[in-house]
Amino acid sequence: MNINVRIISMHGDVNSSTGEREISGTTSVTDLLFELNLPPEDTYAVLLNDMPVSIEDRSSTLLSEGDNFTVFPPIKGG
Amino acid sequence: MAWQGKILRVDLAQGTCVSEPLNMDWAAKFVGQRGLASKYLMEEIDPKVDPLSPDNKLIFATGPLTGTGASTGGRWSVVTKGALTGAIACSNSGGFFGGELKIAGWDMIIFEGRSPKPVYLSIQNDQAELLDAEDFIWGKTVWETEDLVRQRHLDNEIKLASIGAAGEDGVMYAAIVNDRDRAAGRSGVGTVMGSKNLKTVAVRGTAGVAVDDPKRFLAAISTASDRLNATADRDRRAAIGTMAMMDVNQAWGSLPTRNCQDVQFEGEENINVAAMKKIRASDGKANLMRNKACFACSIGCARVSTMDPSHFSMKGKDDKYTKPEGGLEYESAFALGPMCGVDDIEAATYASILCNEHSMDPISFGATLSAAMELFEIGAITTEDTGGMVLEFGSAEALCWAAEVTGTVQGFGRELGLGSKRLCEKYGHPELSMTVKGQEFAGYDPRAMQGMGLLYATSNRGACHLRGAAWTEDYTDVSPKGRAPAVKTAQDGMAFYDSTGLCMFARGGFGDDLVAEQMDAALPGVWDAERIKITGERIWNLERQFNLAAGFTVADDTLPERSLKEPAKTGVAAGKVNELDKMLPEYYELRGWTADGVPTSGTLNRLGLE
Repeated sequence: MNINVRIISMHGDVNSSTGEREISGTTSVTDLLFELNLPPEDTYAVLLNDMPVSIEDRSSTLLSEGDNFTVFPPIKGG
Repeated sequence: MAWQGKILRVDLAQGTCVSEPLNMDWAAKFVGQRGLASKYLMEEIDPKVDPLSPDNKLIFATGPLTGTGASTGGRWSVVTKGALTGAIACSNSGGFFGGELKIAGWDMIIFEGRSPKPVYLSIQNDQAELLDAEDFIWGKTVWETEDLVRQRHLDNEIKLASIGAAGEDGVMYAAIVNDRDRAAGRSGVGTVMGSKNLKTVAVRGTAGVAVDDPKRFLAAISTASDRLNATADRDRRAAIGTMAMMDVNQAWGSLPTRNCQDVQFEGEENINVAAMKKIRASDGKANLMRNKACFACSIGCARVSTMDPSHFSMKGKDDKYTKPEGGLEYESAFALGPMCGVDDIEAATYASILCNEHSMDPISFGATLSAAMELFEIGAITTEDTGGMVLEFGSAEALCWAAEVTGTVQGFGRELGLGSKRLCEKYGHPELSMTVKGQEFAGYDPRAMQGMGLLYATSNRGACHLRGAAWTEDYTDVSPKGRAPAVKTAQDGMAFYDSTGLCMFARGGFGDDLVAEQMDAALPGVWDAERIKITGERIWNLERQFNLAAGFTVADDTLPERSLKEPAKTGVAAGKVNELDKMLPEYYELRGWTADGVPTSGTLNRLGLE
């Protein structure tokens, strides 16, 4: 099944990338983060369809067809 | 000893400049920059004074670490009673002016009274004099002023802090712009400067700054600098600047759009970091050219951009604006973009450039324009008022026109120059002003960021995102829980840090231990975590005392109706409002204030504030 993944990164030139991604039917948020191969410090905030997914809930939250997934690192404004 | 121990007192009515010793007892208690200048202001003016009267004072203040060579140690602040707000104003700026002033030998300049004719202040180390600005630089833009003064004094190394037309002619949120594109931006500090007939301060400094323990200090700043430079945050700020916040707020649903009617912007991808880096068809360049640093700074968060020469705003302007200029930061980008519904990055860049040229706060300008656009939407403002311009949300043409007429203070620009609160009151809809204590919101909607709402409501200078936000909590969940202690701690921490002369973008990278180590090595006495904590709290409470004496009450610690009663339409806070009533009582209690937000005598005694 397909989901939409947005990675907001703070490294160098790439600020964010968005794209469709094919995943298996039993992928959890934790599984996806592992697949995306992001450094742990870049997975601070996860949004699934506009809902924040807390760290405790990530392994038990499964993804569904058409989900919008966003991940971004800790950031302070100025 | 980090402090120079000298204040320059400038009597603009008499035309005199006198050196006086810094009050070292106050310096020990209030540090410098924000804290120390606020103490002087509190002692020397009646907080009820009209901000634009000669009885207001205008203070330019460096911190003890300004000019010492500490990484990012170039900050300085302007402290006064704000023209926009009537509250205590403290606007922090970077660039090179602050370092130059401190190296010239001055901790602070205090401007008193009003000059009968336009003047400027020229400082060369310990020599200072007021010179005629009429028939010279009065009426000129910020940039013309810099060029003309350097030419006249035959010195290209002079650093200047100036006002343009907006400051001269009463735009209520005029800024003071130094080094072409850095600014003491908020609360109308530039308006106060203009009310005193003071055009610019031009400084040249070569005297130097001493520290208490030079060997230890050099080691401390070296360690601090290395630690800062190794952080991912430092790299992010260099590469993409504060613009990184745009995508984050869009994803979270905290991006103020169309005067906060929405919290996500459908045009966001045309005005974000990626858009700044996109190669233009017209000239093969991107909007963003490179980054830029301030005095002693190894981060380099500032943006340098070039305008698209084919953009409609460039027509008839020759190449005046196509040279590299200061580009969009997040706050200017949100205010000139999503807040006005505009997704034209070149238009936003142009408006931002004009804000620097004419000395306007882009946050207040953009938020005021967005209020005007909503007033136009409901028919409270019409084309008869605007002289024909259709002031629609999303109109890049209206944005560029508004920046021109407000920056040069003409026609409807005078109305826009009132600021959001006065404008909305004048046109019969005060509820449409996204302000607290008269100052417009920054680029974070308080419905998706509950702690930011508490910060806006309680910041001593009006709505402000810099005074001590609960960033971690606010990007974790949407809840009032835990926000009061987080915001209180952050506010006290920033009140101290804003007084040191260091830049807030280095604070996280340094860590509290290395901030303390640099202070302890540079200054006499012991500067440890305990002293830093209580000093910050003392400064915060002093500012609060000023505002209470100025006439502010608990009723002013609030948010606009929209934030409290209109649920966010989308994003993580869809269906939610800001629950300020769940945070404010706990906040007052943690602060040691009454339920009416007044510091108790116990709190004041503990802090040494009588």
